[in-house]
Amino acid sequence: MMARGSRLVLITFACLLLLAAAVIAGVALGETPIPPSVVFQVLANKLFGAGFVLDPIDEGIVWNYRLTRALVAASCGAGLAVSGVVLQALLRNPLADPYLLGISAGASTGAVSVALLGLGAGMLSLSMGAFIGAIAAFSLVALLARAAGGGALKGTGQIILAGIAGSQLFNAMTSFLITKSASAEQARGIMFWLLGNLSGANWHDVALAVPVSLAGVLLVSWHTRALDAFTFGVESAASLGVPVRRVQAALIACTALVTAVMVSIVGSIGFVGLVIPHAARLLVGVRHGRLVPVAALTGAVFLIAADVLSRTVIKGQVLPIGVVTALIGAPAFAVILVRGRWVR
Amino acid sequence: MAAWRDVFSSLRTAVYAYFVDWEITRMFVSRLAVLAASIGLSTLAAASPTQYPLTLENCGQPLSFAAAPKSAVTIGQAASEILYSLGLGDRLVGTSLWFSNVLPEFEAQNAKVERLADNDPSFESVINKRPGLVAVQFEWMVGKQGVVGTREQFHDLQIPTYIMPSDCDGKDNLVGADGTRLQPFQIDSLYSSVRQLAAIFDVQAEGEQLVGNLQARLDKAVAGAEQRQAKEISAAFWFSSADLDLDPYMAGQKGVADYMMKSLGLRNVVESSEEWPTVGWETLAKANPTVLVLARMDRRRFPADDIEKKLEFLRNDPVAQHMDAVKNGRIVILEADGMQASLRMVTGIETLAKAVDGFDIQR
Amino acid sequence: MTTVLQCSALGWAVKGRAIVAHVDLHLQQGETLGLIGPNGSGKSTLLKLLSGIRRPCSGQVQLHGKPLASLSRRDVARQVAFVEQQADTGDAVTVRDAVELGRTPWLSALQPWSSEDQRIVDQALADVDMAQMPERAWSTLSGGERQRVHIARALAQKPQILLLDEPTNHLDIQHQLSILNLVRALPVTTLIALHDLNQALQCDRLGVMERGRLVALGTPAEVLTTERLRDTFGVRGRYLVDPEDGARVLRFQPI
Repeated sequence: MMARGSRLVLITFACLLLLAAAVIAGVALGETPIPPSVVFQVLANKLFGAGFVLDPIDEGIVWNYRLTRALVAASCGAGLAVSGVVLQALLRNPLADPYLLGISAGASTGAVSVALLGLGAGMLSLSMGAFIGAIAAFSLVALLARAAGGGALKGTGQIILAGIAGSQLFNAMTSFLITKSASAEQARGIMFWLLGNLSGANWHDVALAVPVSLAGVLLVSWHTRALDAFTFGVESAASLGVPVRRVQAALIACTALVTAVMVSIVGSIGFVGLVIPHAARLLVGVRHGRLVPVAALTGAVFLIAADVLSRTVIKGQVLPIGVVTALIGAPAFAVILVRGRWVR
Repeated sequence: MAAWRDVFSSLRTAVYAYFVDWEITRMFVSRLAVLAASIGLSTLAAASPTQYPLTLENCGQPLSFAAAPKSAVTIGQAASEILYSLGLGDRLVGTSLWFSNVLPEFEAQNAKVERLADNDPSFESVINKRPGLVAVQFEWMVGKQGVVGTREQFHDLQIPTYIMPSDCDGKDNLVGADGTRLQPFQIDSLYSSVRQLAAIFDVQAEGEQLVGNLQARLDKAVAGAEQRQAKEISAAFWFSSADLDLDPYMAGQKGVADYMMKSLGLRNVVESSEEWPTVGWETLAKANPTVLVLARMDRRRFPADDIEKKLEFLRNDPVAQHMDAVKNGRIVILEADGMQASLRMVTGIETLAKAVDGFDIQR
Repeated sequence: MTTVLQCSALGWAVKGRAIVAHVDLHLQQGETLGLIGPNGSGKSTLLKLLSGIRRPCSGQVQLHGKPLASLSRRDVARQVAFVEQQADTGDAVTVRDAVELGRTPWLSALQPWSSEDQRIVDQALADVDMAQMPERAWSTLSGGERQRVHIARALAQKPQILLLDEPTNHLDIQHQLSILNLVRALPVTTLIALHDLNQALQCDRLGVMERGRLVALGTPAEVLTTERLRDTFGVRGRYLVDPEDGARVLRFQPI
């Protein structure tokens, strides 16, 4: 019987290998066919300084377009999945997802304000606008939840309702801005962004997405025992020695930040935060010590796969990735529902 | 006379088109038959006054005029400039949908005409002018899903609407964001627009003269098509992007921009049949067109509308900067209005021909 | 007899209405103190205040002489375990998972799961007589089995003080008796809220709550007098003696 420690090391190694394989698949497959030999040569050139002579366009595509997209997709998938796990545990609701706190709605309003109203006088990019909008919406939701709960964040129902109220408000503002100011072309362009898009990913995005996502996953991993303690409710967690308000505040804030950063980089990609936690539970059970890393890994691999699909399924056209995740996520959710172990 | 010229040029184009593109050949040959049949009519009608009541079929709807309309409102810069060119400026009571400044020769006249809107006007502002005709450049302005209104809304108020055939001939505007061409664009539809508007307003002499001029200029510009064809020059038109991070709007097959390329003997690397589809930069980079054409416009709806931003992107993007066209400076800048069915289109073709011939392109 | 848990002038109000007011209570080491009172008398709230899950509006709770508010939740959880009236979950946990949660206050990054924790969990399962079904899914358990698992979780916390909020409420009579016997036999100090007054007679001491106040505190014989039954509970009670073993039993009739 292997010691727990070395088994853990082995499993971690296997997971990292799986992630690396997914990233390489994401780099090798894309809109235009590039032979795998060329892909490996490019990676060898860039990583180990091998001196293969290659077409600079191929090199650019593999290294600057596809690799950055795969890394951003992996970070985003992991971040959203883990956020979903946290919210489902803290809010005791299997339907909770990272956008519950108004973040996606706020990001849309922010992006649309920058695009249509010219807010920020050309200094702000769509992404910055989205991030500011997301944080604004989340702050409103948090204040609303506090006001409704009489100062305590214990009532999960209040948080959910406050999130719904905030989301509806910001969605209404987005619709208002679009109908009032946008031409058909602008509306089309913004729709594409709002549905989730990994097209413009570059190394700057990677430098933001990877550390934020990693930090989020690590912070949540630190709190897996606390998350387990919430199984029987908030008061039960308190009686088990979890400093409830501190943990809720820290984890929800962490979730909000990670989600806001991800949404501002790639738009609203739905279903990942909702379905991946359930899929992971089907694989390894409900104990968060195993659930959190598996959800992160599954989310990363899923989003890389969805991105590849969005580029290859229709020749010459790129589908918005939010559409692909929904088309896969909805039936997957149905399957999980039917076969899931948490049937009462 | 003009009709004979049409026949001759169509014949000549058909002959060389046979070596260029089977589709174009087919189109020209079928057009030939129609033209031959109508030669008698058009020779007679060439410079004669319009016989009223005039009925004509326009984009699937019959229009009937008891007399030349006394006033008109235009929705679309192309329609406005055609009416100015026909000398009908004093009958224009309102214009809208402008992409750039009016052609300099009409500046003084345009200043006297009220501009209802820079973009799409409201339905009420148009009918308020009580025009005898509304001339429209795009079906998505006035049509089944018209932003301003449907044709029925106008016809119910006894206001006829004329949509330029260049936007509805062989095009399904209900599919694809800017419509999808079922048949490749033909320059004839532009000539028809001019001729039909001239007929409606009883200025057919001016109409024939205008068409004649356009024809001559076009023939001169496409003269070198064979040589360019032999050099296998490919091209792509970049109109704009919703965001520089998102996929660009490129000219698709069968549209006006594509016609410009084909008539000059250039191959369009974009394969979609939509008028302005989004194409990923990866696909464009791999296709590596010999020449890149960028749209210059005054509009600033998207950051990429600015020609400087487009050029900056091409210079700095780690993949695009390695494209042949970018590395060797084979970038042509055309006015955005020159990429649509309008009088400026011919200017656009001339500019493009001159630029491409000026590049040092080896086989 | 040392006082392990005490509260002085404890109060908690919501929207101006006092749910608990001016309660003074001392819990002696090793005793089983029963808390009785009609519905809405504040028993649950008092238990939550004593365990530190809810913060009082007035007054203070002291654990081993130290104010409860000054201790970290973790330290409190190592000494006090609380079993709620109703705690349920939709997650697919097993019996063992639920009991292992009880070790939470003792685990950390530096003190990971060890064989000692395993032993404690197994012992707790055995104590509540659930040792034969550790892998059973939560959703397949009956109400009584779930309650026993909650108690096992509390036991796994290895507390010195056990607070139970009406643990026998929805149980059938067999399980009511078995749980009460288990609790009384445990070597921990217990404060248990009860509805059934006959069951309350088995406790070492009884406290009676009425409209948020502690109106009586003492041995069952001292506290459960006919006057108290009439005034607080609104029933006429008479003590009968069981001829088999001489035990006293209450008989109730309407006033």
